[in-house]
Amino acid sequence: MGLDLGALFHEYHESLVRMLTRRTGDRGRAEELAQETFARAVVAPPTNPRPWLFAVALNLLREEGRNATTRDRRLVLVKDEDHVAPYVPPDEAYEREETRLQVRSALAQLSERDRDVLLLQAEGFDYDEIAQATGLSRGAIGTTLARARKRLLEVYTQGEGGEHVARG
Amino acid sequence: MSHVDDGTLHALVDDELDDTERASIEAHLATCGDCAKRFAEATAMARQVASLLGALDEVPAPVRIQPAAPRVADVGTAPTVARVTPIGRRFVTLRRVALAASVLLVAGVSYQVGQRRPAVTDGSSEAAPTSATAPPQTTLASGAAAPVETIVTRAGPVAPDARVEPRRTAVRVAAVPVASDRGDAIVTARVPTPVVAMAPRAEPLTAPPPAPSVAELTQQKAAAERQAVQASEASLDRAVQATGGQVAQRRTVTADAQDQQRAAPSSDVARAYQRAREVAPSAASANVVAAEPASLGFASPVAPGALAGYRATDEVLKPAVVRRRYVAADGTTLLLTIAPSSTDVAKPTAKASPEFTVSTVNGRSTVRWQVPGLSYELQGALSPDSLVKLATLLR
Repeated sequence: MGLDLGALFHEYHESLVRMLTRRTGDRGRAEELAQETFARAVVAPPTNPRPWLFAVALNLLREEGRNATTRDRRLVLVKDEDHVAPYVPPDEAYEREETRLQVRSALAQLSERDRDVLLLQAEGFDYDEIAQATGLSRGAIGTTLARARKRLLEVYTQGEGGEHVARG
Repeated sequence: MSHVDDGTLHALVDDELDDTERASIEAHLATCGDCAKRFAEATAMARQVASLLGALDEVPAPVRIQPAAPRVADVGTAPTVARVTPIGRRFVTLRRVALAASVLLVAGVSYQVGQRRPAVTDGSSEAAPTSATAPPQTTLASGAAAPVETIVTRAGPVAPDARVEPRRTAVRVAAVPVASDRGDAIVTARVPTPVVAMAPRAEPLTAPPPAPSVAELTQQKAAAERQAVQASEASLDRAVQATGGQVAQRRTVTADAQDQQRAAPSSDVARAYQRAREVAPSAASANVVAAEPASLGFASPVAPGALAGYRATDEVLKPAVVRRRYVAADGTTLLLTIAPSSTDVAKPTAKASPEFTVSTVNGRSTVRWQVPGLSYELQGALSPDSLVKLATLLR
């Protein structure tokens, strides 16, 4: 064995759920996927846990996605019901939700590879780890990130339009 | 040397080049204006993308400011060897403190409504389910027709002899439509001096739990998170107490007719807040973390001063991210976002720059600068030059 599930969970669960939440837009689903991922880690203990866990989680997501492509959208609409939300001033909440939707839609327009690389990097993965988790070569990561970042911002900025001009 | 490709520039931004490669690229950047400019753009891009992705979060993102707040009990882990925790976990407590701050400061125990109107003390605590030893004072503004009333329930002050169960006190808060010409009311949350009672930390489980299941771990973690929020609030209460029970948190309540639609969700928000409060005490029966007076890591560097002619309003945008809104008399609005910087603490040489980075998109300029550990971003529909001047004043 040699797998300390507690330690593994302690170290990576939060990061994994965050990444999956960003990816799916649904916290509950992210939690489920994370659980399933850790369950698999028990069955087949990884030697290099972090890239392994994230790669497995992303694979699970892909498998699931094949069957339920429309699920994302539907879940986004209902998801805030279940968990406890911190207090946010109404206008702030509005603005934030707006931004969130725009970012989600921009992210959805990236290729899967670009999106995964972006999200892994955002979790503090270095290029080696990203390469391990995605199967890309290390040399390709910088280029992929450059393209993904540029594209995300382009799409996001288009979506945003001139809407954020100050009043007055 | 030929120009540097985008991939390499981004690798440099991410500090993923080896030493020799980095040295050669940096040497090139020093002489090539084009590439230096593209490097600056890549840096800005990486930053913007990180902040956009953060907008998707419900799970707090990694922060790099060391919290002075207490650590949460390590629930469910085997007897620990001293271990380096990853970023995502190490700084989570600060996030929680900030989150608690955002909840508590804005929806605190006692509200004083109205800047230009006389405040009338209203002893109506009939909604209080228990008789608190020191009931929070509630001041309500008077004179407004049909006040929108919301009930905010909060764990009330706990008598020193109380063991675990925080007493719950309902506080009435009236969101009062203001009939004044400007239509703005300032709501000041004042927190009376609460006494924080902490249960002694429970003994660890009798025997090291043999291999908890994933589901158990998930539950334990959820419980720990609730505790963290609670403990953070307790710390915050103490911090508030230490500063004389005054909280200088102000937020603007919009009461313009055109803003009513936005003001309307306040009752939803209050309900959500109430839910949050209802969940928290359930963790109180488990082992409770002793709370140390916390210095809120994000709070101290947040005040880079006022701008003459602008009214400033602070909001906790996300945990540990503060947005200050400067509004001038003519309606010009500037947004200053202060966020923990994820890069320059670890690598001050590579990333920290005293310089301003300026960009303009759609007539809206953005000036960014950093100090170790924090990044500032000032946005406004002004010319880049004017904005830089303002930024200079702030810095």
